[in-house]
Amino acid sequence: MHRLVQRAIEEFIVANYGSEIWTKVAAVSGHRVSGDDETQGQRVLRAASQELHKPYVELWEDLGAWLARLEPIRRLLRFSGRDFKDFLQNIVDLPDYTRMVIPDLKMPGLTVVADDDVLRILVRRRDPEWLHSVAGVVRVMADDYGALGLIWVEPDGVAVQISDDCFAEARVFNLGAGILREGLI
Amino acid sequence: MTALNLPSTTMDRVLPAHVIVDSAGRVIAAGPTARKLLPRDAAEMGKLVSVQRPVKDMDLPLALAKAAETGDRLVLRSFSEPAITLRAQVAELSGGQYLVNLGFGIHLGDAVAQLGLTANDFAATDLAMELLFLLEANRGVLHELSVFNQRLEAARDHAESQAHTDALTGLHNRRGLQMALDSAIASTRGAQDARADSGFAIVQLDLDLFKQINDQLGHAAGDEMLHHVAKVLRHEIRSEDCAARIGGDEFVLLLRGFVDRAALERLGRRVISVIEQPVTIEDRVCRISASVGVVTSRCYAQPDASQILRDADAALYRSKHAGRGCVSFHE
Repeated sequence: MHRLVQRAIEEFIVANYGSEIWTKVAAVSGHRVSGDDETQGQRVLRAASQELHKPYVELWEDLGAWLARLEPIRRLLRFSGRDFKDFLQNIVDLPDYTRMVIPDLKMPGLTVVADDDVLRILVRRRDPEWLHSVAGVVRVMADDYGALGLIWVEPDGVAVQISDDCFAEARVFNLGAGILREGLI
Repeated sequence: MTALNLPSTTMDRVLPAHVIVDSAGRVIAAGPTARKLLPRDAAEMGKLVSVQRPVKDMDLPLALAKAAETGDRLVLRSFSEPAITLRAQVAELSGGQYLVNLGFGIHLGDAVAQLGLTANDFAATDLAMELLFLLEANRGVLHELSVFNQRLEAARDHAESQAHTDALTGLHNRRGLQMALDSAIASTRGAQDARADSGFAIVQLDLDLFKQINDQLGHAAGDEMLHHVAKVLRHEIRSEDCAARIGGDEFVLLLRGFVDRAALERLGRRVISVIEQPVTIEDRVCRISASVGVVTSRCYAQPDASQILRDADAALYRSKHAGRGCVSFHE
């Protein structure tokens, strides 16, 4: 698994459950900083799931939600659309956007199909890890755009039923803020 | 040829950063993005922007006419936002008017920040959003990777120092000594004659009566005694020297630039006398001693690590045989 994913998992556990839990989980799962093997992330979260008595996939969903709430990542996600519906339609581009900056992440392809008032984001390969982290991201972004939606995970994707596109005020997204933060003139 | 006659709403959507000026350079119409740069009430474009290229401070109407004719890119700078350089493509319209389409080029990020632009300020075909995304995403990823690299380096340094360290005393282990000795030998090789440079000494030290402590008071007490000896040795070395524990109760000092026999003998005796001072461990007064064998790089034309260590060992062996607390030299 990509080292950035490994880092995200570690930061997620430390931020939400404390560094003591992390140390325990890392020891149990045989985590290594330089570990490059494909299944390390899964092993770590399986150990965390045991330690915290929390379903494995729920942790991946929490990880996705936690990531989407981090301001720099929220900003990147907000580049995807003007409103929540637009965001969902454009989410098919997310793997390509990701590949532009992290060519070796191996994110599965996403497809969006509309079925009456339900939008389905189909996740190729159907990895439960990706399915649930995408669901976590979508949940937080619905909130961010101020949209009310029913979101659930299916065996091959994430389903979203949008009840009302603007039931609350969307959080501010200032396109230039990322540049200003760097202090460029 | 089709003469386009587009309503302004269409123009605003397709070319949101366009300006239409007359032959005198007066703004007649402007798209929504262009208006953020050139407010509506300012009539003369030449008072809002200066020409940078093709010729600096060129008269604007003249520059527009020339650019329309050649198709070359025009570079402009806003007076109110001097950090933002604009590029422009100019086309001549009927009636002596010009269509000027503005773009931000590499200054896109600054323009977005300064003018508070949003996704709606760019045409659907504009790559501006992708560029801004890349800018932010790249910075984030680079930052994360540099954090990761720092941690990786720290972990490697830690593993490396652990591999050279004796876990019990914190002194070097045999491997650490070997590396220090190799480096000391390498630096003598730089000199014309190994015996002419500052050289180094190996002081090998073996504890006497240590076995009794281990046997009578147990291993914890023995370990404490080893800690104590390590502390004594650490006080004798400088930063370029090395103190190592290479076996149960065997220690080695590598002292660089120190080959004077009399001074080494004094050092050996001092170390022995400090080690011989009684130590209280678990309410028991413990006494041990030490034997010392010394060899200096001066003894060799071509110093060799294993030969040096063998000779130091032999010198130590002679001290042991001479009774406790002796210092012997390899001649």
